[in-house]
Amino acid sequence: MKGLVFREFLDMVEAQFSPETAEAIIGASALSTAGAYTTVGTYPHQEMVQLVSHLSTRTGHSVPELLRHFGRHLFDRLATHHPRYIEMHPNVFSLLKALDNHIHVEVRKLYSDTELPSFEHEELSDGRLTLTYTSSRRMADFAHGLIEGCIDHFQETILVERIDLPDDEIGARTRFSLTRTDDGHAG
Amino acid sequence: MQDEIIQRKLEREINARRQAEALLEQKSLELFIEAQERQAALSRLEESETRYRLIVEMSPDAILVDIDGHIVFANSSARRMFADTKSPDLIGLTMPQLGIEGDLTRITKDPGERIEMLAKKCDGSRIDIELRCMPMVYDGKSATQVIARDISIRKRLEQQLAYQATHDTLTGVSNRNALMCLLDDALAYARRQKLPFWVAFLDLDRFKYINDRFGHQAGDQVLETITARLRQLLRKEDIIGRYGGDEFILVLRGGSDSQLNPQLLERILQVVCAPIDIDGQSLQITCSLGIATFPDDHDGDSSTILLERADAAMYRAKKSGRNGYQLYNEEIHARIVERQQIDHHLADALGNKEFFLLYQPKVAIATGKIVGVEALLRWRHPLLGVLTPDRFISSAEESSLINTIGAWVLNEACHQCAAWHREGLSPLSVSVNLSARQLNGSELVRMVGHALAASGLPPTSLELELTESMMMADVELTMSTLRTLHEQGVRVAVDDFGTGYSSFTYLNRLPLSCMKIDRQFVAGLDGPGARDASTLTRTLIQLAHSLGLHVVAEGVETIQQLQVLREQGCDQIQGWLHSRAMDPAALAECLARYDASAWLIDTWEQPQGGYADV
Repeated sequence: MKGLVFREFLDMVEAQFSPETAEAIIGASALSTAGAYTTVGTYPHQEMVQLVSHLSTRTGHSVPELLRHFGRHLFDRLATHHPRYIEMHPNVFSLLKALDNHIHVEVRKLYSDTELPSFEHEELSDGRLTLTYTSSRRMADFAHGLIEGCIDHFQETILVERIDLPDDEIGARTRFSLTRTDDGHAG
Repeated sequence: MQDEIIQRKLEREINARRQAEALLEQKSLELFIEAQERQAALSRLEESETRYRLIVEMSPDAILVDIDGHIVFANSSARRMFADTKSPDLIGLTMPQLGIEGDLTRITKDPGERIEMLAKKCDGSRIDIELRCMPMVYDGKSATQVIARDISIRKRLEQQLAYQATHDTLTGVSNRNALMCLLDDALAYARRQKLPFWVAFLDLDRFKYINDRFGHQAGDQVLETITARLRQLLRKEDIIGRYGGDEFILVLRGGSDSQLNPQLLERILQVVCAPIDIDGQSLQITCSLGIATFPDDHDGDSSTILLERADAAMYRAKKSGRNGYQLYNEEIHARIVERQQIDHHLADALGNKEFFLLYQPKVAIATGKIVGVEALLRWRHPLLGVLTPDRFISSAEESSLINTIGAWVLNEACHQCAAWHREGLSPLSVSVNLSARQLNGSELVRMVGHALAASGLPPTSLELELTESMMMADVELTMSTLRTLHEQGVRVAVDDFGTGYSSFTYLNRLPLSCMKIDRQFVAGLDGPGARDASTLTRTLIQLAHSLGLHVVAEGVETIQQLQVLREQGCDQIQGWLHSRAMDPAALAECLARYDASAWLIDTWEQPQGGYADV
């Protein structure tokens, strides 16, 4: 997992909980760099699992809840700091459909050692899009948050239904069914 | 507490920065290595590009690249093959300007496929090429690579080969193979158009003489000259071809005429026999023509049959005295049918016991005694009735059955004669005619020895009759064979004397005992040219006697003939005047009842007239 994600996570913890909370979960976790993450580095994703787990213990929020929240937060941060990746898409469906074929391809060019989840999509004619998340890291909650962040960003009214599917040989699979509930834009 | 947190955070930041620097250093190194690898790859690419460019430039095949109908690349072979001073590099020209027409992407279905076409050089001249097309990307655009090979030389050689395969090298007309194809075509065309045509088989008369006398070069000149004359004479739609040495086939089309113009045949005879100047010497040669017609009444519906019929008609023209033509007709057809029936049944004739012998007595003129018989072969053909040897011997000779038939005749005659001896009819001798094919040295000696041994007939009672032509064909072989037979006691007669060619030198040296005067000389003795015939027989008889041979005159049918022959000193006669050929039983009865003195008296008391059908 990229150092950028760790840094954003810890920044979020500091801002939304407290610097002490951040220090505490760093101290409680067995981290390869003692919590020193550089944005361009790559670190074991288990460290994120530890951090979130300890945050849950400390705050009483469930791990899925925290991950989903972090996903939503991260999308907002990415949109702020890397707008060019977002601006080329007119709406949520456009961006989500480009995940596997364009965005992840670009990421791989920069970070050849990156292990990325897959997002298979199927767009149905009646304003629905299904997105099937597959990853060995079991971060469906995080993905859920990112999707919601994306919807927030484009200000669309989209109902997200989530079904956790049985694991396959790669890992956990979750299907997100996105349905536009009005003309597509919230405001 | 707050400071401690800030301190830890600072340490994490410093640590993160070190990580970032290390990562940066590592990435810089990776970039450096990558740049070096890229440079090496570029060098390899350039080298490869140079190498392939060299290969393309050095290729003996023309290589062209076409984008959107225009040539964007041409290698040096392509420039050599197609370019001229106006378009030295070919760039910008279109494929159709080079005579390469059609959709290049479809012109060859796969890269391995080649097609041949006649392309055009920039100067307008034509060139045979073999073409391959394949799609490629050139400067990022879809293009077609066209590879053209100059196959002009191969094409020329192919044409030469095709010409040589179908034309006679000496005369330039169609050869035998091509003739058969052309004849097939002519037949198909005639069938479709319902038009008649004629196949003429032309054979030069005595061409061998020209070759022997003036040499093969002169012979070739004669063939060339005659071919040129025939080509000039015949119409464009007619066909002339050389079938064999001095044999030509002419396919004559009637056009609107349904009849063959006899004047054309006369003209053919005339142009052939017009004098030919060879090295200042004027030569003349005639030809014999046999013509088969399509369609005819005899179902001649294949090229082979038409040729066979033309050949048969030509053979008849030869027999009729040469320098003439003969159309295939009913009579020739009947002969051919007969020949086919003979050929068809001959192999089984012996097994079916269809052969039998007749015996014709030979009578001593002075005493009237029967001194011997000539065995005469007959074939009771299942369809054609009883046949004399002249109807089937040539078939037997061609099929090699002659030796088997000859051995049967010899055995049968020897056994029959031995049987008569046992019945007390000795010292009767039997004469057996030999075919030219049987005069083959040790095999004949063995065969004769076997027949004598098996029958118990004394060798002195056997006489072999050979024509003078047979003897002269291979004098040395004849001499040694006949000497061996002579030493065994077998006698040899020269048959049909005077009708062939003899060398007196050899005749004198051959161990002969008898000369038989041919029936045609005898027949003349009471005809309009009796005086001349008489001179001839007298000379023959004197010649034979001076060689120490006794003389038998064949075909004696009248008292007048007998009288002349007796006066001239002829020893024996054979013919209807005395008796016809008889089967063994009839002959035995004849011999049993025969009274030589009575025959003499009867003969000389007969009124002067013929016994044409005794």
